[in-house]
Amino acid sequence: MLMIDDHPMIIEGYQNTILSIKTHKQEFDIDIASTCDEALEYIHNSLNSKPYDLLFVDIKIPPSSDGLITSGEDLAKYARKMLPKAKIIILTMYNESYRIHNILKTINPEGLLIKSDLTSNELSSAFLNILENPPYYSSTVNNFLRKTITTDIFVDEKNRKILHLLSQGVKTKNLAEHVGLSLSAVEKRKKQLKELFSVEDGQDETLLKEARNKGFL
Amino acid sequence: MVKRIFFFFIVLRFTFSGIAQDRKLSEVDSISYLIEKADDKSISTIERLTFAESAKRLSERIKNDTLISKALRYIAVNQYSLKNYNLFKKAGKDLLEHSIRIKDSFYIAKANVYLGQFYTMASESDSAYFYYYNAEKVYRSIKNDLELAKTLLKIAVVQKNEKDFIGSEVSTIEAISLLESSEQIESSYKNEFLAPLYNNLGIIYNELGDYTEAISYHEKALEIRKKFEDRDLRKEEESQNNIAVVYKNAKEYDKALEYFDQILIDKNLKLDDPSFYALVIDNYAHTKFLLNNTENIPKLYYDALKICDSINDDYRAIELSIHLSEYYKRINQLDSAKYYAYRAKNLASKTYNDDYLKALFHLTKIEEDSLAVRYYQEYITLNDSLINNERAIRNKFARIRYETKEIEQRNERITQERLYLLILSIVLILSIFLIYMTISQRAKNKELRLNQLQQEANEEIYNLMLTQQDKIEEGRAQEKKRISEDLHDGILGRLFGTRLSLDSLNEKTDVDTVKNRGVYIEELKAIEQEIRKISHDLNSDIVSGSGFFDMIKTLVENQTKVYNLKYELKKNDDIDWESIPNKTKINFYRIIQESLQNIYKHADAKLVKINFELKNDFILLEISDDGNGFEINKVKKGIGLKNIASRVEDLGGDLDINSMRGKGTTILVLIPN
Repeated sequence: MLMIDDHPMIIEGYQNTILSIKTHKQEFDIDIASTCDEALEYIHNSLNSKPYDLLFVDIKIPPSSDGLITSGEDLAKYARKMLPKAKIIILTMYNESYRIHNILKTINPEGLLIKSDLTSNELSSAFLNILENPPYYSSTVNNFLRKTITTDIFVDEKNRKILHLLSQGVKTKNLAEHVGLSLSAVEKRKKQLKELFSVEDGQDETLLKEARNKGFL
Repeated sequence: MVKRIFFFFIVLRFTFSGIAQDRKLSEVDSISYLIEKADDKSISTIERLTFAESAKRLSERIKNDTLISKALRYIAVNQYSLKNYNLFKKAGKDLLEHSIRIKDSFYIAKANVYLGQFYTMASESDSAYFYYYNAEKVYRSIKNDLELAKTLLKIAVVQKNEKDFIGSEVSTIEAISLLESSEQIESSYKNEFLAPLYNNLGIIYNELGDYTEAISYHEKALEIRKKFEDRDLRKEEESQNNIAVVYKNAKEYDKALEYFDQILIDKNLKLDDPSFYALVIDNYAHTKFLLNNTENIPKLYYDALKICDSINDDYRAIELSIHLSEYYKRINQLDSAKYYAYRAKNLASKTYNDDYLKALFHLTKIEEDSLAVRYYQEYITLNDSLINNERAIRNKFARIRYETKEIEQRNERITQERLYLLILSIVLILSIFLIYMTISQRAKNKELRLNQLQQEANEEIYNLMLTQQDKIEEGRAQEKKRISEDLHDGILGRLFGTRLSLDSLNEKTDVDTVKNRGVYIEELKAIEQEIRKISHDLNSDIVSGSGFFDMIKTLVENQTKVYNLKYELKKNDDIDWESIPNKTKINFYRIIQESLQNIYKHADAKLVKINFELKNDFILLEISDDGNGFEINKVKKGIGLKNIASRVEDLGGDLDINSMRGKGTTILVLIPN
């Protein structure tokens, strides 16, 4: 398996956890990469010899030098193509709904674990589950899914992005660039969202609060 | 009697009635009624006069100018009829004043005619002529042909009386042509006035010796008079007399006698008009005398003389006396001749005119040589003076025409001059006004433009400050983001890793594990330190320096480079630039800017020191240079310093300028915080 994370401490943590549940029968081959370039190298190499069965991918890693792979997401997508049989576990600090939604949608990993949810035990369980019976999601992800399914509100991709960026403090005037829409289109969507989330005072803050409540942030 | 009482009550009622606005119209009617009565020939002249006077009082009270004019006119007319000539004159003067004031041409002319008539009666021909001439001018200007003709007739008579025969001829002919050619006047009216005009012409031509013309005109007059609806026998007889006299002068005595006989058919003449009767008898008798027909002669004269004595007709008496004297001379009764001759002279001496001349002349023929000569001399002297008088009067008439013309021309010129002066002064005032407006407008524009420039400069600075503000905020935001990322990625990640590892090692207790745990615990310590560092970063002033001060620094740097100056820029770090209002900061900026400019322009300095100090609750800005310095009292008027002063005042602060020639200048600005 390949573990990709730029914090060596975290890799150590993974290793310790995995090794602590290792049974005698099992053999673990662990490779470690801390940047996209390294990961790519390992992946390519593994193609030739023994393709990886499992990848631990952190979203936040230094991008590739050629700029094609900018984050763990891209890397995971690439890995999917290259190693279709491999199981991918995404581990990330990001707990925003938007991110989770995107990761699930674009990568559909076998495991999605929010780091702040994890204890050693949970990681072990997750690991075992993913091996036998994917998928496994950590509790935050489960909560997100729960809210998403039980809500009547539908928010499309672009709107999700808008909500996410707003919550990051991006000013409305800059949203247009990020979302790839005209400013008036962005304003229109904001209005829609406010209606959708029953924002009575028309304030962005209230919108964000409501969106957070409903699990969209 | 009843009529009188009735009339009295009417007058009483109108005199004492009050004047109310709503009754004004009926008052006008009442006054009009009074005026009608004033012209009513069926009632006595005194009654007419009283009506006229009431009308005047009432129309004065209601201030109706037209009615006042009418009333005054009838007062004049009736006074004339009553022969109250002084009151007539007064009425005429009143009417003249009033009509001049209300600018009523018709009544101005009328009043002048009345005054002319008065002076004719008073035998002051020059005054009479003056007033008639005024009337003539007015009637000409208002193109009233009838009244003009009537006035010309009156003028012609005055001229004739003063022996200005040519003048009289001119006036008469003009009057005649006016009447004949005018379409305004009815022919019945025309004839009424043509008759006396022809008569006048006849008299003139008689005097000028053109007997044929004289007779022709008198005949014309007689013809017209005979055709009148209301024939005036007297007037016809006058014409006949005039014709007879012409014939007499033309020595056609028989023809003359024919006309006299015609007249004497009228048996009532002696009683109706004794004066005229006497005249006719005198002429008749004299004609006969000239024919050498002395039948009835002295008796006729005596009859006539008796009549003259009874009616005090001196003029006729003189003529008769002379004729009697002639008669007695012929029959050689010299004593009687002399008696009557002297009687004539004595009578004539009352007036010293033509009659006296005649008397004198006659005496010369009767008296002895020595006396005769004396009388001749007297005759000649008197004749000369009379001729001179005539000439003088004629000149006076001419001068009146000329002078009034001259006065008119002068008035015209003065009015024109006044008009020019008025126009000139208006133009002058207007142009001064325009110039003033232009100047003040330009000044205002200048001020506005300067203000605009000020505004623009202020705006620039304000924008600079805002941009600076933005930059600061951006910087802050960036910093925050960096810290956030630091925390998130760095710290959280490490903590997570450490926690996970510790968690996995939790169960185990072997030596290796213990050692490992130790390692991770050390790791925790390292993480603590990193957190502390980040916390410390947060505390320190994120953006180095305060934005405003940076701006000042940039300004000073740039300007001193351009001006080739060295600078020292200091500030008190305790100054909280954020809390200082933008207005103050802008003004500080501008003050420093202008001071630097001043220093460059006038001071010829090498070093400028700028210092921001904090003194209690005041910010002290000190700008000093090592240049030439200046006389404070002389130079305070400079625009740069004025601006600085006004800015400081605007901020509610104090300005202090210290300078000494050769030692440099220091500007101190104290602004309350």
